[in-house]
Amino acid sequence: MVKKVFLCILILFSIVSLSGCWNYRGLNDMTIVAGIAIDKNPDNNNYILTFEIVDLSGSSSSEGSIQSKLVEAEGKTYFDAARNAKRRMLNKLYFGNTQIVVVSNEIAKTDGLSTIVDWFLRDAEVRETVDIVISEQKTAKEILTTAEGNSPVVSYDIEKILNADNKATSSAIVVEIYNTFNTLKREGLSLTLPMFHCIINDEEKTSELNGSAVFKYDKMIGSLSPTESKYFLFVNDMVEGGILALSYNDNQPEDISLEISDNKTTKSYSYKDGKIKFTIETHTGVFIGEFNQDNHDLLKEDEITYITSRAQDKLKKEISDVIKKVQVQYGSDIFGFGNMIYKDNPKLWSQLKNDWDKTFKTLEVDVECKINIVNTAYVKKT
Amino acid sequence: MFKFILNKNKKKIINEKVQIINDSIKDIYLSNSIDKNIKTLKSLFKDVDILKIRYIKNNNNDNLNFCIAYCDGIVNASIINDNIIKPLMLTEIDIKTKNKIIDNLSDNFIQINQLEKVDTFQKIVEAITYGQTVLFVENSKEALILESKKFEIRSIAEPDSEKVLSGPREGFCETILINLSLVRRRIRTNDLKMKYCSIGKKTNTQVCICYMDSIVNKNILNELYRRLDTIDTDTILDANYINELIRDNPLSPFRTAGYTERPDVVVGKILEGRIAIFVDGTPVVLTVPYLFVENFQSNEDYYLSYYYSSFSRILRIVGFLLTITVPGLYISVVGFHHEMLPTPLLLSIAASRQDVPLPASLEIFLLLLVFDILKETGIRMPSNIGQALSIVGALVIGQAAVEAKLVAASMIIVVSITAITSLLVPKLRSPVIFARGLILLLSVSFGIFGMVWALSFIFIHMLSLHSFGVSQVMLPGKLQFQDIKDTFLRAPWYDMVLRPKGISKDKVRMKVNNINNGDK
Repeated sequence: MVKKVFLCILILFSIVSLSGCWNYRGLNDMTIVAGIAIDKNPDNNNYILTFEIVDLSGSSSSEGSIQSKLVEAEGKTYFDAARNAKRRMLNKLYFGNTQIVVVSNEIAKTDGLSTIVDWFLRDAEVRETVDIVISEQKTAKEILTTAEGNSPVVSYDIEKILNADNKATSSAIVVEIYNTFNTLKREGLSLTLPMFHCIINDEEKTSELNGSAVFKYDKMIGSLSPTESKYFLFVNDMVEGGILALSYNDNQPEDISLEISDNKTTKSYSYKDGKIKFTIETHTGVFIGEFNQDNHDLLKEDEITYITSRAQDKLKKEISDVIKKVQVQYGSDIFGFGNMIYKDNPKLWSQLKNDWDKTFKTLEVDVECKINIVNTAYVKKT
Repeated sequence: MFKFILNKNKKKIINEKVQIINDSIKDIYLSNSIDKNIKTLKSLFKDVDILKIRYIKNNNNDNLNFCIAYCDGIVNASIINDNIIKPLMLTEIDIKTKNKIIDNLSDNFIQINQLEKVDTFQKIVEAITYGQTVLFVENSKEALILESKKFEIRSIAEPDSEKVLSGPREGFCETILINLSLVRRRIRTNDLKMKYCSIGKKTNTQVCICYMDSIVNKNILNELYRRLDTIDTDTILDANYINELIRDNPLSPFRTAGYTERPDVVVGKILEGRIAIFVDGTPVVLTVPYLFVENFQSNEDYYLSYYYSSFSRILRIVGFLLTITVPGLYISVVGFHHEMLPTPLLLSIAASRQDVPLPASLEIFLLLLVFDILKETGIRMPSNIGQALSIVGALVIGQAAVEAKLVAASMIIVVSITAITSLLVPKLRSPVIFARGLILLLSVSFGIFGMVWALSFIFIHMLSLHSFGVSQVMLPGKLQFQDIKDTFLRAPWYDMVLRPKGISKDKVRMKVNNINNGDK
């Protein structure tokens, strides 16, 4: 009996000492950080971290609501800056519900992302699913100082904009922090991150998603516009929605909108006589969303075939253009062509690896587009 | 330790005293003379004024002297007048066969349906206290016990604790004979056995063991008899006295015997191979063995559509799990694992916790205590002040406490969910309190980690529960499809071809050709 009691006490003690997170921390003893903006102080090369914190003090009265506040802190390193923030706050910062990290393009271009990603992955509190975005403005802080949207917390708005984007416009690639790390470490694949800038909308400064930033290794080297980003997503098979705009005749303005309902892209490559050729095939289902029907009758099969072929040509051209631009201007393999070879044929990859930056620039890419008009949403004149 | 030994000694001494008194009665035999017998009887019933004694002389033969003794108030006076006194006084009694006068009387003259010949005072005392009349005859060493019981009984009403929407509404009352008749009427076969025994050295309570001979598992029956034999108490006032004296796992808060006040429930259980224990003086009937799943079963399940009853079964099981885990889960999430909460939920909980003085862990203990106090008050208080209590409970503690920022609104919601779901499983009332407390205590100290410990402890304990050798919870590996047809879901009657596993000797309830006894 004594032995049993002793055993029970021993087990209970081991709960205390062996469990990872056993300390009680009340919800009112912490400052919830919604988003972080990372900038650099040009004077002394220190990092400036701006935390958007959720201010609950107004919410305890029945009609009050949640507000957000910005807290700035400076430090030699990122973590140093984060800890320095405590000097201005009652409670320690809590990163468990942080949704976005905004990095200024200056840091992305000069310092690189590796250290930031490493810090976030090492910290136990931060979720690995934090979205990381690049600020096109001068400082990252500006993105967080914009007018609030639906929720009073800008960071949460940005997170919602990002995650709903793919369904509606397909203009940016959402990269969570663990994926950023994976991409950085992967062979033959470069990173792209969504980019935000500020615009004046209805006399208020608002942040807007504006294409994606292109990286080589962990440093930013350029950007793609929202439209270019869409065709980039076509190559990477990540399109879930969006609009394809085209004109009926070559010299007309664009007057047809095709709404993308689904897309499937397959990439393949062939290796012959030391030359690599990539083939990209897209199969897209679209609805006709906008069409000038005064002169044309969509019930005729010819019309459908004509529109389909025009759309296919247009899509093929745009995709090829984006690939060309990235090849020539940036020379960064954001399409993961090298990674495909690495996965498929490691021996070949080990030969190509060292020269891949050069090879990529002159890579021959064949684009095949198949478009299927699923639905014409026929409107009849009476 | 010391005190414990003392108590044991004290108990022993009392037991010995009781034994001596019992033995002293046992040794007293009747004598030939009425006067002497009456004197003994009077000495036994000293200071018992409701004992009535009446001498009777036969009209035709002066030598024939009788005396009857009974307790006033529990006998039927007209039976005594018409069927005992009248024939003894008026008829011509032949006394040729003098030593057999007592047989002569019982065979030819006394008009009573039940009688018994006795020669010890112990039997006489038992009979008189149970409403029977004792007839002493001059020059006879035996007396006759004549049936003349008449008690005031409560009418057969629907029990308050087990109300149903549809189905039979009869409930047991406090008289064992009426209770047995309610069961007898429903099972019209000689296969239904009813065995009497009397338990309690002072109360001599009538206990009846009731079972179906062809279905019952004889090992369980013998074990029940063995355990009943070991009972050595002087008082049996309710079925729970017996339950606690014969139960398995005596320290566990979980039930190991079924309780019911409804004859239809008892009949259902008997026909599944269980044994019912009726106790005189209480409407509660025990049924053994008891499976854990019976905590979630209700008799109404079988009277309503099986879709509806399967749904309510699942509700009850979910309710049980919720009521034991919700407070612990809430505290673990709010105090330890903030990252488990989706952001909007975290914000609204955090907003409600703003400016609350107590930490969440202390708050939940206090609020649960308040709820238990309200519940207990609701049971104990007179029903006409119930309204005052509900006003105090709902307004003062609920609304005002939140507005005064003494407790967080989210905490009130958590406690209400706990409280409401705990009422879903009335049969698990006591285990729920302990399970919830244990989970809460460990959650407050170690978060989800502690909660998992507490849950493991509870489930291991549940798996070790037995009722008369039958394990209450069966591990999934041992289960057959037929065995779970009356557990989480209630299968339609045509599909429940087997009786519950492990209880009965004869498992087959109905013979259906295409079902291979369900064992395959």
